[in-house]
Amino acid sequence: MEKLEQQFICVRIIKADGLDLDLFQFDYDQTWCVVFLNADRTIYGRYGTRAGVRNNAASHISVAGFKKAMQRALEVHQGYPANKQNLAAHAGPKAKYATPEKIPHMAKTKCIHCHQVHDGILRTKWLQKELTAADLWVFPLPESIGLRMDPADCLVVKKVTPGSPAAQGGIEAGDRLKSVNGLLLLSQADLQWALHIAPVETKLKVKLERAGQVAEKTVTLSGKWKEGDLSWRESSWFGLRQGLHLVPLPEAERKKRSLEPDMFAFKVQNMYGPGPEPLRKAGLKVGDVILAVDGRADLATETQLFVYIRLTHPPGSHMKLSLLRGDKKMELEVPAW
Amino acid sequence: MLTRLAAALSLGMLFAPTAGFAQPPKVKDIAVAPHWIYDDVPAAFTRAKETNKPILALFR
Repeated sequence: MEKLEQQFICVRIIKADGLDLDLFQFDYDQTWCVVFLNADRTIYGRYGTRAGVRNNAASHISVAGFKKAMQRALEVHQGYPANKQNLAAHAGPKAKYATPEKIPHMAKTKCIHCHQVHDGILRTKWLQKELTAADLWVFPLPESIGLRMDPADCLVVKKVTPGSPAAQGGIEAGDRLKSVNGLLLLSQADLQWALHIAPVETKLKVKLERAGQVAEKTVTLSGKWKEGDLSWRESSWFGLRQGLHLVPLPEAERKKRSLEPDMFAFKVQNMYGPGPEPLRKAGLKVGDVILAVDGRADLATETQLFVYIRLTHPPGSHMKLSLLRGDKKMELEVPAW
Repeated sequence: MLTRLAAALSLGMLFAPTAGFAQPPKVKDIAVAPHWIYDDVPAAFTRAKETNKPILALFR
């Protein structure tokens, strides 16, 4: 491993101040991520995946997987620049803000963490009434198309969900993915990048290796496949919740209040910092149970609830909360905050 | 390297910003091996050009 590491120029970055956002585009909510690149700024690929709040890192990353990604990066380097066209899509679009400090809502932030890049973009876009679904549904996991990858390899398919787009496209467990739409893959993070830059309605050309033979499969994607869980993302606290901490009402409390087990019911667990001050002023209290927003009680998860609020309630607008406070039902109009 | 990587992975999880709660007061980074460049991306590009090695940029 030491020899492998010595074949790179290794740089460790612990703060995002001054970070070139045109060059370094990755899932900023991760706590650990690697970008492999050439000195001419050509991106070879990425490594690093996170999907939960804590204690599940091993489900998506591993030392063995990282080692394989490093080896693949060296192979790409050896084949460079002949393979340059198969790397072009690793470069993202020109960033709206050149560095994190240029993001309007981040101008006064010191010692910027990577996740704060996404924090700042989400909050700024919402304040400027420019927030879109594409800003929220970033870096979909392979699971979003029905693939579970083996963390010990990064590119070997461990499991395919029956009936999923990947299954319908003919991908099978044991397949080793090589490229998506021509883009060379080093790891699962590159597959996520390919999904990230793909339009919602699309057909992915997936080149893979099966039993020593190379094959190409087409995966057709449509609808809500990018819409996963955002609750683990640190940026969700700033970009979505703005300090409003909701939890699904525990089963015991549902029984106590005669609410159905699967009924929409989110308890206001806490309101942190100055962000939710407009909610406090409007009368919302810790312990209140939200039963509907604007009459909608069909939002099944906290993510869906906050996405609905952020995409449909720009600054200056209001929403109606149907609440349960103790045993008393009540309606409360609150401003978007 | 394995030990350092494992430490980095576990520290990353340990010090992962805990959603909505107070950040740890100060995160003291673990020691970095001499051949690692610390927080200096331009220096990494300079050395990569000199050596014709690829860059491994680790964010944490």
